[in-house]
Amino acid sequence: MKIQAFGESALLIEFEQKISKDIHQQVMTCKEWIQKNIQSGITFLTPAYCSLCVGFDRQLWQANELKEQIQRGFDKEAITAKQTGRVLKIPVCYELAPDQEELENQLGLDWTTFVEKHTASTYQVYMLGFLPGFPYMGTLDAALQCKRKTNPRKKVSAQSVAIAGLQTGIYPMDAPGGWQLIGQTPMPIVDIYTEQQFLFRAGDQVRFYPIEKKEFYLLEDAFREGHWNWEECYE
Amino acid sequence: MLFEKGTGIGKNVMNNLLKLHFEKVGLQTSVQDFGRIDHQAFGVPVGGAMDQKSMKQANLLVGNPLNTPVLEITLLGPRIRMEGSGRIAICGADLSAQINDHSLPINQLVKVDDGDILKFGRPIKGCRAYLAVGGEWLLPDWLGSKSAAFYLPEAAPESIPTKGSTISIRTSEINQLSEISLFDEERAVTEYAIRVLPGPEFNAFSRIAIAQFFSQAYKVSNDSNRMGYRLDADWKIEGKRKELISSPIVPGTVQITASGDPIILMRDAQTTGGYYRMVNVIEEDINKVAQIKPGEKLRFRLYHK
Repeated sequence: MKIQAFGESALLIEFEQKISKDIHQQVMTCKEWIQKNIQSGITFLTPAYCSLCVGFDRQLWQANELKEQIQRGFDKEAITAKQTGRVLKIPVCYELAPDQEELENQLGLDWTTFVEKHTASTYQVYMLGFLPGFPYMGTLDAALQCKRKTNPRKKVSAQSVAIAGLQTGIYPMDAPGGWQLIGQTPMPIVDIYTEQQFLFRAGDQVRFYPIEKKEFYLLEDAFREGHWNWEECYE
Repeated sequence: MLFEKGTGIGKNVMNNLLKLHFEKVGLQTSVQDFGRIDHQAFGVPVGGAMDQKSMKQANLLVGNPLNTPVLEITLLGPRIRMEGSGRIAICGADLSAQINDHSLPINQLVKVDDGDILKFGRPIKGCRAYLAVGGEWLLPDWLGSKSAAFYLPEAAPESIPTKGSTISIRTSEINQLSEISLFDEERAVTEYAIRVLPGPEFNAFSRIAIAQFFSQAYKVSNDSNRMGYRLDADWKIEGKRKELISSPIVPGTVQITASGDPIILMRDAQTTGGYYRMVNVIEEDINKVAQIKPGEKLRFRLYHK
């Protein structure tokens, strides 16, 4: 574990630099330890795959004091953070996949096999970033590992399910993007009219299940009309 | 509620509304405060006024708490018709503000009246002007801030004015303005010096790359905005082109992109990134960067506390 100053009012804590559930567990445990043990002067905590950014109030802390306190008090071996405990089931219409053909060629897989593999794993939400609410999830089946688009799209539609490298994610809103698009979920993943605002948070476990186009549009309407909501996808 | 004597019952003179009617919006005009401090874990940019020093100065002049929203006005300003009266001040860039065709100097408290037209002309100095209005801005919050969210406009729609839209401020009388010592007037320069601290991957760069980084002036690219300032390096920074495992960033982080050009991440930058983080601009100088226009030049200088 390495702690260093990051600008004037943040620390960056880095764990072993690799993508794994164990390392991420250390990140989340460290975040929890700070929330529990440092009572004041912490302005924000941003967890990522294998690092944690800790913002502090410069009037209450000096970088070195805070660094020492964390180094002395936090024991990364004593993993206490549970996963968030949440398992989410997300419906995906894999028929709405702009990059189906490109991926079938690149990976040498037919689409049915692709969908089977994508829905077979339970993914971990490692962090939210890039866009508000965008979940970076891993780890993808190695057979699905692909390159990003050579020419990123100017506009990817909201709720597009995408893959890149060994990661999978969902675009919360229309945005430019370079990931390969493999489907679409009828479930909005940012909803500013709810208290929770964001469907995912770091540490969640996620499973996808396939739905047909007809069901996609039915669920989209059901969400809009309030007959179907986020509660349905928390197991 | 307080009433002034002799003006008739019900006339509320201590709590008026000043309405800003946008007849034109200008290049990029938005409501900003200090932004959303604790939502990076959900991927929400901090946001807030690009030049927070000028925002605070403008609020100080009109007697507001420092975190009161202001209007951030970029290069080409809006045209605003006032309904009601109140006090305003403009700080930061000099964008040739005028009230009813009379020029309105920056860093000055001014009273505006019903029907007054505030407009802007040629940008003289700086990039972003801040318009403060004395009183309470009647706009909804999103995640504890009234700052515009360009990445999700429906979250704070009224904070991005459009032609024909209106923002209302509940003005309040103040007895006495605080004593204000204004301002270290910055000289016009041809090259800005931006102070930086070593970033997380500073030591991963070679001594040659570090020398390259500090020894040249960079032109600010046209492709610069509230998310980031792209800089054109004549001499590309060597090495470290591969990406890291995505990791958090904070406003002021300077990344070296795959092309070897630096990019200064600003207030609306995304919360994580994968490029090497070479240095961090000190907080005071993020405000300074916010006033640099595309085409102008800057240099980096290592900051010693």
